[in-house]
Amino acid sequence: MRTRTLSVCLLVFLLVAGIFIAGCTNTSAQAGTGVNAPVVTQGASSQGSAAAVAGTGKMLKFGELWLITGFDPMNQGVFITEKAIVTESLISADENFRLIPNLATSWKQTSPTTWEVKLRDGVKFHNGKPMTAEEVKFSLDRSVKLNSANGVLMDYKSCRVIDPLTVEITTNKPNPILPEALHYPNMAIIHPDSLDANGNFSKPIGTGAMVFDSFDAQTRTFTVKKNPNYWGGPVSLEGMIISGIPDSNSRAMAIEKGEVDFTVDVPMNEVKRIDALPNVNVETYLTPRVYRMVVNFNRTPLQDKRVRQAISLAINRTDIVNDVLYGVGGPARGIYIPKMAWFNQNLQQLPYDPVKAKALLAEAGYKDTNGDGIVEKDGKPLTIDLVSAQERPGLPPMAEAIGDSLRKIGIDAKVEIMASAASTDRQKAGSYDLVMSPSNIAMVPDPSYIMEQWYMTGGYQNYGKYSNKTLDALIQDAKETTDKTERYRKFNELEVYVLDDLITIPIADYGCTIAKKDSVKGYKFDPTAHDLRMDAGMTFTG
Amino acid sequence: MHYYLAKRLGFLVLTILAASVLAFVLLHAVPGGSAETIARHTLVGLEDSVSDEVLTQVSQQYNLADPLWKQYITWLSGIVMRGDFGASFVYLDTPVASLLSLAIIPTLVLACTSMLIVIALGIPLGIYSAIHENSPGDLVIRCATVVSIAFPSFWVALMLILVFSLTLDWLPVTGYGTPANLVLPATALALHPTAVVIRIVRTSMLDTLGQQYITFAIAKGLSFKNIVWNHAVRNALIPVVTLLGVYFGHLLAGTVIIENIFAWPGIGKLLVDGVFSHDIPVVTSCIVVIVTLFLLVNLGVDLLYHVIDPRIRYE
Amino acid sequence: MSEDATAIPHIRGGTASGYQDRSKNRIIQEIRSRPGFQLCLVLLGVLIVVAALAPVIVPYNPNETSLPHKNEGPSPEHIWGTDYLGRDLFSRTLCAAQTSLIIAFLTVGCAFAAGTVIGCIAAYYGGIVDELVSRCIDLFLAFPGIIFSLALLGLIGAGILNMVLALTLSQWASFARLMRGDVLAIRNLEYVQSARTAGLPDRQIILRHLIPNAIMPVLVLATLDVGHVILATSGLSFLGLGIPPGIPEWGSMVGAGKEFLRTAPLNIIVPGLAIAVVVLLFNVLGEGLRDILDVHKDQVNIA
Repeated sequence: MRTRTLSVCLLVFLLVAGIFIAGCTNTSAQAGTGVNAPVVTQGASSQGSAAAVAGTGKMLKFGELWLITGFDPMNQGVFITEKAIVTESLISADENFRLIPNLATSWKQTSPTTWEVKLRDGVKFHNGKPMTAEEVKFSLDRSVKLNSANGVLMDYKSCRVIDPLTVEITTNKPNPILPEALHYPNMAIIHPDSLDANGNFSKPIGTGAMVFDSFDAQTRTFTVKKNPNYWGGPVSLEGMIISGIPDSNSRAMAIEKGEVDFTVDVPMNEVKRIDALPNVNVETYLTPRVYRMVVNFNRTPLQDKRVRQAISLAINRTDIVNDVLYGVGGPARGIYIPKMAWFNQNLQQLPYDPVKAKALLAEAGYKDTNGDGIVEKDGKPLTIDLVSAQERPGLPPMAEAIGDSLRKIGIDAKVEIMASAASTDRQKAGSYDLVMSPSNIAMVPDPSYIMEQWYMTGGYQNYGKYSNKTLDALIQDAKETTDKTERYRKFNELEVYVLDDLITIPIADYGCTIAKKDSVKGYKFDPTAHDLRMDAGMTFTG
Repeated sequence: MHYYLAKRLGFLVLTILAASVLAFVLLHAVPGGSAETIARHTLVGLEDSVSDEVLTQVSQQYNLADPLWKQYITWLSGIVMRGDFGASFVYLDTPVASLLSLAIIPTLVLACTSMLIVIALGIPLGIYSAIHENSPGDLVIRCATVVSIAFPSFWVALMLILVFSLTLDWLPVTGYGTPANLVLPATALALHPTAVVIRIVRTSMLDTLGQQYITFAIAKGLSFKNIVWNHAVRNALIPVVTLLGVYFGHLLAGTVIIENIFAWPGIGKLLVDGVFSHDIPVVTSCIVVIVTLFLLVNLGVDLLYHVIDPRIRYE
Repeated sequence: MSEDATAIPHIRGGTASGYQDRSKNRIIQEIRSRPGFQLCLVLLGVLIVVAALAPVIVPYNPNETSLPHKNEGPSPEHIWGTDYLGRDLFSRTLCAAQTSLIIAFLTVGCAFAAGTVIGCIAAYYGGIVDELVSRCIDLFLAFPGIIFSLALLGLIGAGILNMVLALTLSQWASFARLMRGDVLAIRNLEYVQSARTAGLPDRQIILRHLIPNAIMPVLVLATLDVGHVILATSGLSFLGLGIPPGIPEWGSMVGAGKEFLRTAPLNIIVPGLAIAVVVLLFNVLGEGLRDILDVHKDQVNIA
């Protein structure tokens, strides 16, 4: 009898637990905003559909770098809508980072704070409706409203519809680089039907070569198919099945075993091995990102230019690129990358000379007086706190290697590696000497952007609190120069200036590897994209 | 009986509440952070460039300026009233509740598969080892358990990958959805608890076999086989069952590391990703869910224990 | 599982004062009859000496990189090869022993001290104090494994002391629970009662009578917990939480090396084996102690 009562209790308990779990699932399905739209399937169903589609032999399976956390192009969903070429911006850029027309055909500054942008005629959204000034205004407004950082980037005040193919954008202050900001993928143009009746985002209806097909919330798999009415001409790629594989080893395995046809950033030490596999090749490109060290100018030793020079001279950039990055990337020559139209081609690789580094430290008054291998000044050892984020695979080993290089010239370097969220906190709090950072240098494809943010007094990425009135004036002058040749010449000089003063210490240019099957042909890398962008012109024959 | 159950359930709810307060308060005490985390995930390339202007706006948008107790009450009432665990700082389109409901199934699948391996291997091997005490088989099993307990599970997982995926190419490294994906993570996860269960079954079998009533049964002329299966095994399993809840807890904790190695889309991965990206609502919710699961399983095991062994009386 | 009924330990023979009466001679005899245990003691002694002297005796500075010589196999210069930055794996592994042992000893020491005192106070005073402490123990035990330490470490950041703090907070409760159970079993025994009627202050009763008589199982748990804490430490630093990179640590060595699983597996194999050997030694020590001190197996479960 007793046993039976207990069994009943147990059953009730299991039932309650079951309801608890089921309840959890149900409520959340209703509570969802974006991902629970009708097009989103939950559970394993997509596995079957993916396989079925793959049967046509032309859908490209793409192993993405990041987990697909969403697909609203106005926030972090742009990671995927940009790569999958579902959404596009008004303005594009060529491989030398010069602006070229895209959804906009021309643009001009009509007053210090207003810009007139002419739109391309005949562009259709994926739902068949034409792209007009109304949708452009809607998209830019939404982009700024949803994500205030976008507004800051454009210095956006408002957008006015002049005629169906012309908009006028007003900025708060004069912003000479508004067109460059419009290149930014968050400023994508989408149709208002991307939102459901309640104004919640449901799916991206863009103008790109690929049309959003489905998203499986369980496996976070994003499927797109080709846009037969693409304004840019016929699309050769049938479609893509995209899923995020955040671990680089797993991406390598996936391409090796044929689980994906295209992937990015395999482990650097395996590039050679994977390239040698039959049917797979690996290509390496530079992306607009540099590994650099931010210098804290509130720290007394680092205010001495000789100490900064010694630090830079202690670093063997060739070894770092060859042995830490395995050739993925290049030794830094400047603060920009060589492909950029405004890069100073006269610059040489930053030198490595530990002997000179030691001499400079001695000249600055740092000598090892107690024989412990660490230099001192006024009895105080020279200690450097080197902070690095861990998210990019090249960073932690690079930070460790640099820490050791500094110890070899007598600087007591303490390396700390943490999540990028924590390292940003440290930068803001100013509790660091050097921060390793893989900084994006073309969020806005113009030389003035990082020059202003990094080096001008009060620039909001000027974490080191560097301040130099002469430099401020020079940057301001260069920024306001409109003639391109003259403008680039001025920025060439500025690049030499900031490198000479070592306000930040560049280490290496950032490399990106693309591993793909040999049957993927005609892929063209877009260096101005974030990480990478798929190419509508490539073909895939399975 | 009913009183006992009510009391247990009452304590369970109180413990979960206390755990949620502890987790919430601890995690929300992080300096700065929150608004910045959100801002960084709203704009690509913002790895090192969040302006104060953006921060203020985000702070207002997410009610981050409220006092901590108020934030807690809002969060808790959301869970209780609507099953709404709040908004993630990172997955801006997906509420935490959806993330949890998507992650909980893979974790339960992994933990339960491991549990099956633990039971299917641990109990027979433990019984074998006890019955054949000091035989070569027993020695091998005993050595294997002692050694395997000393290896960290993440290392075993990497070695399994090295051997079975990279070298022999038999099994996939990552992925979710097919049984083949489950083999390596479930094995790596099951290693420690299996070894522990083998040892406990063995010890408790040996204890039982040494008891007077067994000697008495042998004297009565019952066959050894009969005795082992009818008396010894049943009694020897009681300590195993009582500890199953504890092992399930270990498995849940173990999934945190194992899921990260195999990119298994479960709660453990969600938790660690959340810790790294300072996604505080996700971390808090994951902890509360893991604690709840652990406590529920333990309550279930306690009740099961009383079913198996009716001699135990409820106070 | 943390209910009172199951938490009370069953002590073989039923006399709680048994441990004190047990003569030292018997323990020495027990140890003499166990060559395996003696070997383990010797090896642990060697390990502790080596770990303590590691920075002095290793052939290379464990942090000295030599990029062109990265990922080399064993050679006369580097007997266990070099890691992904060309650092000597032998030197790093040896120095990492120091890190792990410091963390493990500090953590177990703190958890042991806190658990013993808190558990003892709860059991001795009973009533509302006991109720509060017990609920608190239950609360901490409700966080399985490293979950609590993980969340805490993510918050307070890397560092040896942070690691010790985070692990202590997740470990003290099992010590407290065991101690409380032990003390509950002896606090009403005659000699404790007579000490109380004799007017001895509580502090003295706790320190002189309760703790010494109830401590043995907790001591065995502490020994077994060393291995457990080493595993937990390495797990957390494997995930990238816990130990800053300037300090060699086995878990973070495996974590940083996992990128090289295919091209240079020594990066992972060497520190992994080191963890296993050390944990094995401490487990054998703990289990040996448990048998020698005759603590019932139900009381102290291996982690």
